[in-house]
Amino acid sequence: MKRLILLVVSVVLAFSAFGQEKIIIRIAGHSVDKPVKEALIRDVVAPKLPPNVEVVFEPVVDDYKQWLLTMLAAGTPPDIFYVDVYWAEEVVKTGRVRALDEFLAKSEILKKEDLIPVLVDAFTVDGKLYAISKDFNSLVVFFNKDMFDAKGVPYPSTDDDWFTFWDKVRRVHNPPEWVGICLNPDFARFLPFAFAAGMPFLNPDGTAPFARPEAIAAAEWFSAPIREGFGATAADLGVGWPGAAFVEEKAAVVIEGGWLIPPIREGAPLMKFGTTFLPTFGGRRGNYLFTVGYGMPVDEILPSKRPDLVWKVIELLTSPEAQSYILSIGHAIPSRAALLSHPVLASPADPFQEAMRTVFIATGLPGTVPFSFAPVGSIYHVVVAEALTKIFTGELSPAAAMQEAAKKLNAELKR
Amino acid sequence: MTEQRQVDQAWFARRRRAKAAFVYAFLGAMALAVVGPFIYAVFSAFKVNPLEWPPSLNIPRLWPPNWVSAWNLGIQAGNNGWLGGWAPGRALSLDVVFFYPPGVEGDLRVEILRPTGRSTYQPPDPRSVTHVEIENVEEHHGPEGYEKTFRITLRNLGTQTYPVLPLAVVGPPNSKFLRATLAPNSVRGLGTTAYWDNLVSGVLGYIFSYFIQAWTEFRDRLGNPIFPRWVRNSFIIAIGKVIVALLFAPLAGYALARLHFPGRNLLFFLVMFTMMVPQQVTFISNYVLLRDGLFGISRLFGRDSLLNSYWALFLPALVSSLGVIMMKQFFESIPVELEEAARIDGAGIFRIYTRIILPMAKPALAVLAILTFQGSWNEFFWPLVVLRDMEMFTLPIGLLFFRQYYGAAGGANWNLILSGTVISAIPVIIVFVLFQRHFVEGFRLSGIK
Amino acid sequence: MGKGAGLSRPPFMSWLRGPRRNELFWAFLFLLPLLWTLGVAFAYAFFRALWWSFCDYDLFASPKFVGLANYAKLFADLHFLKALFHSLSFAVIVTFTQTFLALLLAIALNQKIRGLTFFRAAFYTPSILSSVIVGLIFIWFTYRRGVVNFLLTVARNYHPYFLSFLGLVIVMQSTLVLWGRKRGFPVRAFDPVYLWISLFVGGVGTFFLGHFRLIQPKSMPPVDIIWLETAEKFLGIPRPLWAIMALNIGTTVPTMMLFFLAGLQDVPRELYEVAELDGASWWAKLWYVTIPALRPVMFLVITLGLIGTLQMFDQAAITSGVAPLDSVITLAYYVYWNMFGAGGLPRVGMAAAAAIFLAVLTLVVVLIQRRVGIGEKAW
Repeated sequence: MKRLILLVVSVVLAFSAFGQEKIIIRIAGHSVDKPVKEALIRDVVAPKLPPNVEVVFEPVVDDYKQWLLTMLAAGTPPDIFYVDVYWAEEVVKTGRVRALDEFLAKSEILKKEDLIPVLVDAFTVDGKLYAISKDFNSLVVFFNKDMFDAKGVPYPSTDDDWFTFWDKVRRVHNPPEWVGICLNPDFARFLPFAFAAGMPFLNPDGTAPFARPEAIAAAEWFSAPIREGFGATAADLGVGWPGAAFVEEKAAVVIEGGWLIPPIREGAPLMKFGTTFLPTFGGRRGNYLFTVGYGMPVDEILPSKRPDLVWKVIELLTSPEAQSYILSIGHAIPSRAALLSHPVLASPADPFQEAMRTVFIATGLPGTVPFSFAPVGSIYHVVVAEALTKIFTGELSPAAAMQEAAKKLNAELKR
Repeated sequence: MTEQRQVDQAWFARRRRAKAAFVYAFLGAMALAVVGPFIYAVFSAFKVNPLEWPPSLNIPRLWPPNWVSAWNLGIQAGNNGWLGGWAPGRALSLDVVFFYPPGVEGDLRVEILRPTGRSTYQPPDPRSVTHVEIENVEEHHGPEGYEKTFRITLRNLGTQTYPVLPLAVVGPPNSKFLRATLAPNSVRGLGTTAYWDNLVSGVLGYIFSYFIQAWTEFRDRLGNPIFPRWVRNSFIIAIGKVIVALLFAPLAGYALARLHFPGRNLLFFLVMFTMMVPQQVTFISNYVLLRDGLFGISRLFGRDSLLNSYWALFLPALVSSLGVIMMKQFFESIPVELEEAARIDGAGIFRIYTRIILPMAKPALAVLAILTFQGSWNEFFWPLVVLRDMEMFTLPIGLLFFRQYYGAAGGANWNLILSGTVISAIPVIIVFVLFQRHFVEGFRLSGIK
Repeated sequence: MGKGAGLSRPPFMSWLRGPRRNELFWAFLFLLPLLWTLGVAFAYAFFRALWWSFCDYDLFASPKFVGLANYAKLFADLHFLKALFHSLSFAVIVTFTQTFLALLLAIALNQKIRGLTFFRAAFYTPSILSSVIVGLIFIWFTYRRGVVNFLLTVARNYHPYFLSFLGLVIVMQSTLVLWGRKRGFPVRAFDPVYLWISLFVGGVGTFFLGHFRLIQPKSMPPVDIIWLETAEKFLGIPRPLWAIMALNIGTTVPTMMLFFLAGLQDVPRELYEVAELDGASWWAKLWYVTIPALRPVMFLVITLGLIGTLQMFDQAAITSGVAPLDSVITLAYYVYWNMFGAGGLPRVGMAAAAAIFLAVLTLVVVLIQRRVGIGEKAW
């Protein structure tokens, strides 16, 4: 009898000791996210986990993607890591990222339908989902209402097409106090318009599409402010990026994403500004989706050896509560579709919340594509960037520059 | 053919003096060119936007009238002119002047803003407990319009002290903000809106706002500021290294100078040789050594790897070759007779070392200490390799991270980066100013090895 | 370095017995930290690096011997070749420019200077601050809309003022010199007293010209040179590297000049007096007295300079976040980059091979210097 009790007691003790074993779940991400992440973990995630589980955010200071590839190859990744849509496919192709479909199917608080469809597509490779989008961004038009009022020009709106839009920008252009638009020769701003004009990612035969008439028309339209003088680049205005020109009231209009919201909040909290979707061409609108998601390594190299627990942490990080928290801090726009009914987004109380709502809806519009250049790779946007720079400096005409870009890309593709 | 005049000494003396004047002028210009950038950097750490173009020297935080205003506001807010803080029940007043062109009418709108920052550490928010009163105090008519002065009185109706009181004052459309008792941080809204990020900072809080921000804003998971940790790490390592150097370098230097043992010349040659071999050769092995916990010894103490720790910064190089050579040369300059006399008196090597040699070595030890401190404080390569955890960074690595974090295109805060730079330069500058003589001695010795 | 002044060297065995044993014990004890450092952190590390340079090793699996494959791969790697080219050109250009500039300045300014302490303090400022601080201020200065471009813009806009100033000075100086010579004084072309007068007149004259709007500053568009965030080259060397060279030269020349100045002032006056008695011109004095006297010091400075600049790492690492990698990469940075920077696992074999190469290169440079250098006392 005594022995039995002893056995039972020791088994019970063993189990409770096992239960008390401290488990550390590590999340790795960009170092700039450290404050927000740690607050999120402290306030939203940790309270819902058993006391012996600790979630730690480990910021990565160097080139994040290189670090992640190194870690995956070495077999020592963190439990959860950021996955940027820009290089998602490259990382998934290492074969060391876990597909999450089975977790999604079993989950009670996170279902595929909960997420905005384009975000699901962004992280789907070969039919399987590899990351849960934590937040996203896309491009919208920011405009300074005071400047438009001062010049008596109607605000840009969702009805604008390319021509009415430039017309308004021309009219609000007011040298030397402010320029109509601050625009950099940035491929990430140009390509959505090119796609809206009908340019495909690649020609059906696999060659570069930049010499097509639609592409050239888009390049001519896009560079009009610089060539005709009603816009300026950031460097011309003495700032580091168009967002700074907008905050410092040097430009009436910029095309940026939700990341412009915190700088406006910091630099000019009472600015009267508005946001609207990008202008259309022939009824079509293009946009880029920038998003980062949470991914997990495959079970064999999962450090904590508890895939279910790690998934639970991901669920908590993307739960409505967590996303609400992030939304109210105003740092990013979360990925759950239902959040559209969150008061911040449903009835925006100030220009910032309005801006977030605009970005949120703009992302879901048709024509939005994930910001990714697989399978061609970065050479695609490098040649576009070079072409844009030459157009903006006046070195080449839009047509000549785009044809040169097409030639360069074709030469690379042949290799 | 003109003949040479007999020229007196005074004429040549004038020439010599004029040439000397040129020499001094040139040296002065060179000094300005070398020190100028740092001084400008220090000044710019006080600017709202050090990246402004064109760069100007009109810096509100360095303008004495603003200091007086900040002091007064601090006194009004809580009897603390130095550090400010808005105590319960206190009221403070700010005068603002707006220009109203003809035909423009309307009152000011005053808004308390939510205190923000780059981290999630939120100071308490005074919005709900502030009572605002606006009085139109004066009006000047002019041919072009009115200059209206308003007095804004803010009262703290709450029960706690608020360290931050950010304010925005908005005039009616087409009005223009002219000036106020305390210069605003920025004026936007096409001139109608003036922003202050903290009215109750007190003089010190006002002048050094970006230094304070650099020191406190960036925090870790538990809410502790990280910049002070970097300073602490740098100090601990530097002082530790000085102690280690003062203990070990003279020992080795004396052994090489005065003790006889086989392979002495070979050893010395080896020491010289190490100064030529770049760190890049030896760091790989030392990195792996630390990663594996120094042949596994660290496992005895419960650590798998010694990376990312103070040990990693001390262990591989306990003695610097330069220090050893410097001490050796110094000891060689001490007359042998002294030691021989002591030996005849029966003193052992250890006694000779501690009683006679070391006390005489004070000047050289001073140089060694200073050089070691400066070398350790500024060390870059090795900490870069072994320190991965943000809390363990030393100042140079931390500053590099600051640039990445605060210098990114989307919202550069170079005033914080420059403030961090100035803070990290202060200890070395102090040591240098106090002990300049020894520094130069050290540089000279390191050159003529 | 003195050899133990003529002491006889007893055979090794006698060290272990007798009175010498005590000394050996204490020597060993005193040398323990040094032996640790030299043994583990240097010798062991050096040979391990050498071994790994012949291996394929990624810090996780065990090293695999591959012979000279890594070295071959080095020379096929474009990044390495660029790094090599950068390091060599950096070393040569910076060392020789800074040495000769410092020498010229020291010769030009050679005289008793009072208040040297103050100047020394100023000139030493960059040396005592960390390379990160100097580097960050450098990055900030060379921004596209930064201080350097601003000063260039102002200079360009005010060039009428400079030209008129220069013109006035030249005219005034020539007049004064010719007038002085006519009156029989032994006036030299750059006579200091007249030069001060000319400068004063030039300054005042330019001021009034500007005041009465006879000359005006231009308002040209701002100078927009991108110093760091570019891959453009000038004479085959990337522009960011030129900028770093300028930084190095600018921060080293002042202190080096003081160093040469001290050396110059050690040259015995008698040598100069003898030369003057022989009727030597200033050029002859320079060539036959000054430079030979400074030769040993110069060789030392050049040797140290070459070693230091070949191993340049800090500035490359600090600016690598802003400038393209291939524009600032040096050999030392290449080693680091192979360990911690490039994608994938650390390439220890390549890093070690590059490091050994750098060490050998440094050694070669030193040996060449020793051969070419004559009579230097400092080794």
